[in-house]
Amino acid sequence: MVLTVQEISKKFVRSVKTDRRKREREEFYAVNRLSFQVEAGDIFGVLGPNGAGKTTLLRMLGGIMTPTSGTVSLLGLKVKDNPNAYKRAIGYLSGNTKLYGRMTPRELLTIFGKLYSIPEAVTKSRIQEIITMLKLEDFADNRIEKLSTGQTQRVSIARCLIHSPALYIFDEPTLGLDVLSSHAIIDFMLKERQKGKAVVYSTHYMEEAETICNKILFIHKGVAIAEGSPESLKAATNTTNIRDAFLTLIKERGELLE
Amino acid sequence: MSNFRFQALLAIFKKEILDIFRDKRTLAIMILLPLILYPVILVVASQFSIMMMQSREEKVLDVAFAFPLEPRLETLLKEQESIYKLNLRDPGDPAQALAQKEILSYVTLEKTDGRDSFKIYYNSSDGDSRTASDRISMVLEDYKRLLTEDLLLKAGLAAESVLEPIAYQEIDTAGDNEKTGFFLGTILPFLMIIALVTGAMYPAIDVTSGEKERGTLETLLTLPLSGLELMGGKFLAVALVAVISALINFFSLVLVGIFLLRSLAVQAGGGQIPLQLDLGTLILPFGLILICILIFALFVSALILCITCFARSFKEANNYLTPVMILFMLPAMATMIPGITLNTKTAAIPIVNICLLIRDALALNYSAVNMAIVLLSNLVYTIMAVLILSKIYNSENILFGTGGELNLLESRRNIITGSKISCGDCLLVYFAGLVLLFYISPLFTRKFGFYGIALTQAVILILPLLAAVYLKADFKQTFWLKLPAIRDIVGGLLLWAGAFILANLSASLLLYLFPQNEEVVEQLGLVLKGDSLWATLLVVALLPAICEELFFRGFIFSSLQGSVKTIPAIGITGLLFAFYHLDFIRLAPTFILGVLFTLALYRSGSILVPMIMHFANNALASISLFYPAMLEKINSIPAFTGHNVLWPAIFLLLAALLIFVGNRLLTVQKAMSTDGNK
Repeated sequence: MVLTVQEISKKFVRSVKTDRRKREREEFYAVNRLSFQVEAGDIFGVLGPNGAGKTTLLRMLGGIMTPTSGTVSLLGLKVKDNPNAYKRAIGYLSGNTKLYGRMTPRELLTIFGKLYSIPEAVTKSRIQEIITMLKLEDFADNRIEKLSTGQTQRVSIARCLIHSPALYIFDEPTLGLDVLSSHAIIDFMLKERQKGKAVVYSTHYMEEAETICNKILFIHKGVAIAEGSPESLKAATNTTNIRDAFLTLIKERGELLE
Repeated sequence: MSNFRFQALLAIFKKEILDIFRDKRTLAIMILLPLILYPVILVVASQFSIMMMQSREEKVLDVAFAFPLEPRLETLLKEQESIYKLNLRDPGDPAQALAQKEILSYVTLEKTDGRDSFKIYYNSSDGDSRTASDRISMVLEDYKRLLTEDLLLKAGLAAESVLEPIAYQEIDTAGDNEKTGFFLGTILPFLMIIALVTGAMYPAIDVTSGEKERGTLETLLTLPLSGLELMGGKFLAVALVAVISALINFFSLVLVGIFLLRSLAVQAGGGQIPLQLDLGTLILPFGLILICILIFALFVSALILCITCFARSFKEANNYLTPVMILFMLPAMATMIPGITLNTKTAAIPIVNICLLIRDALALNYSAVNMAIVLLSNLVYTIMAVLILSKIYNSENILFGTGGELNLLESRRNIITGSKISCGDCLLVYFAGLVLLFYISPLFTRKFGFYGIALTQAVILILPLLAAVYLKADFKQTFWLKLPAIRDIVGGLLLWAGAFILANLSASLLLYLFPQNEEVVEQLGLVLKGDSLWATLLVVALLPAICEELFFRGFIFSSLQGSVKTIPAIGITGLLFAFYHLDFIRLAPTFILGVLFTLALYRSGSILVPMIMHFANNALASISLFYPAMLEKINSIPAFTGHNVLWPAIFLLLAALLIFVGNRLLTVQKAMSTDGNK
């Protein structure tokens, strides 16, 4: 088992206007008691509409947000006990993990290698390897601010595999990318799965998830609705695709908007 | 912080330096601006003032003499017309003419006690009017002299020997080094501070709110980094940029200063005297100033980072820093006030101390003790600020939270009722209070004498109360308003007795290490002594017990508790309490008292317990002011003078015992009441 998640919740506080001059704190759960497991070779899809709690969940899995309750453990290591050791085994990528524009990809990777405490010689050969693998040769020494969106996304991927993590956490990695760029990312995930790495990945593109995920978790308003392989989810809801499966499940709960 | 990696800190430092130096804007602000700005300001300012002076000197000014001129005065005015440059006019109503600026000044004449008495009317807000009145004074002065000489002549005396029986001349013996030093000493510290702050501001914003705005912060947080590695690296990078920019400013200013002095010397000496600057004697002060700049750059960088890391964008960071800039400028002007000198008291005040040290260094006037205190206190402030930084920058509230940690800058409508006061708000109120006290407290004491202390205490009380009202805090919780049990009070008093012994021991140790003038200590006592024992007890013991406890133990400790663990919170409260007294010698004793007062509050849960302890402490001091023999006895027993070791050791043990027993009494109480509280 690569990743074990037990009953994690995240509580936020927001202020609500109760009358004209009073504001009170209101607590709500962005993620509410989710439990699941991810094995080596899994591409685990977290699916849900906007505001379902996907980003909060993935941030907690990435070790950059602390759960209010529950435990997350990676290869037997609990994030609570040693967050830094935990982070060393994770490659985290989201729409919010931007890169330093005034640096070149090579400089960025060198500094990140140092921050992961990788010996300098190892970092060097690893960077060369990554540059060939992700085809960064043409712009490895140009400033990142000068690169195109697709090129930048490839550098972002390079950034999260410099320390060869056991688990990748990708939060909507294909959001806003063109066909070629998103294909490169999907291709990358499929290749890493073959190497025995695990991927937890969130999206609201249901079709994309259906083709690559072997496990899917539906969440809505922070709560798990269903979990299983795409086939089992379709079978359980008697539908032909994941999108319809999701809509059926929501309807059953009587929570469809409109 | 168990496995701190210095390599990681260095990598962060390298990353920030790379990032900052590749930004052309930073380089322009840092290097080009000071190199160009000062010479330009100098040239423009000097040209402008010369122009203004010349035109004013040349201009003939309209004035009125609102009385018939006496023949001798009339002749005088006519004969010296080219010197006085006055045009006499005769408006009907001179007062109105002056108001309408038809004339610039006028004179009236009255007879009082058989003497002519003139009154010169002018408008001080108008430069020409001031010049006109000066010229009229000159006329009247000459007229007076004329009349005197006439009278003396009639009495048969020689005017010269009666009016000026002796002659004297002023000759300035100050060398050019001292003159340069004095000139630079008044203006340089202020400019240096401003340069350092502006130099640190841009990179500080860039590495904190800049990361947030550009969306790189989350990337950084995916890395296995501790808060100290992250903020330590950022802090060093900002400090380096601040130092570089300050150095450039410094050299640019010194060059301009030398140029200015040389041109002044040329003017004064008719173009013959070259400036005698002996660079050899200036090496030591310049070296000292470099050290000051370094240390101060560290302090400024840490402080500014503490503020910018709360901001969510560049714009917000800029808004936060504007008042901070003013906060820096006020104390930086200390060098321009002649009365303020560097002593053990001022040496502990941030910003002021560095300015005064630079001024002293330039006047070739050093005191090793003061220098040590200045550098040490700045280092302590810096370390405190960096530790706070490393704690807060990682916290989720700052990263993902919608509400800023600085609620005081938030509109009151958006503040949640009954919320806890944040660490940032608490520090803001504290430093605002510190600066306010620094300026207000001497003013009050000068104006109202002894009762000025009461007014100062009122300020200390009002500040946290206003903040708590604005932040809609729960008063009962924030100020620990709860009645204590008898047991708590006994425990608190025992704790205080121990604290008192410890405080006295530490004070005597400090006095032994840093000998201080006895007079200074005695003078402090005189300020605190009122008309009667009862008045003194009220102002010096009761009021501080209430006001200071509500501020430090109530407001500050409560807000710190929310963001830091209990033990650091108690320590920081003690430190803030100690620094508030603005005196180096009292630093250790007030720290000990502050920590133990806070401990008593934490254990008992009631503000009354530390209030009683504080009252007991100050009351003892007040009573001993009226019975000096008693003061001597109390202070001399547990004092360390360098010879006796046995008695201090015994008292140390006694203090430990008292604190232990007092703490036990309080502990039991706490254990029983926790269920009731929650």
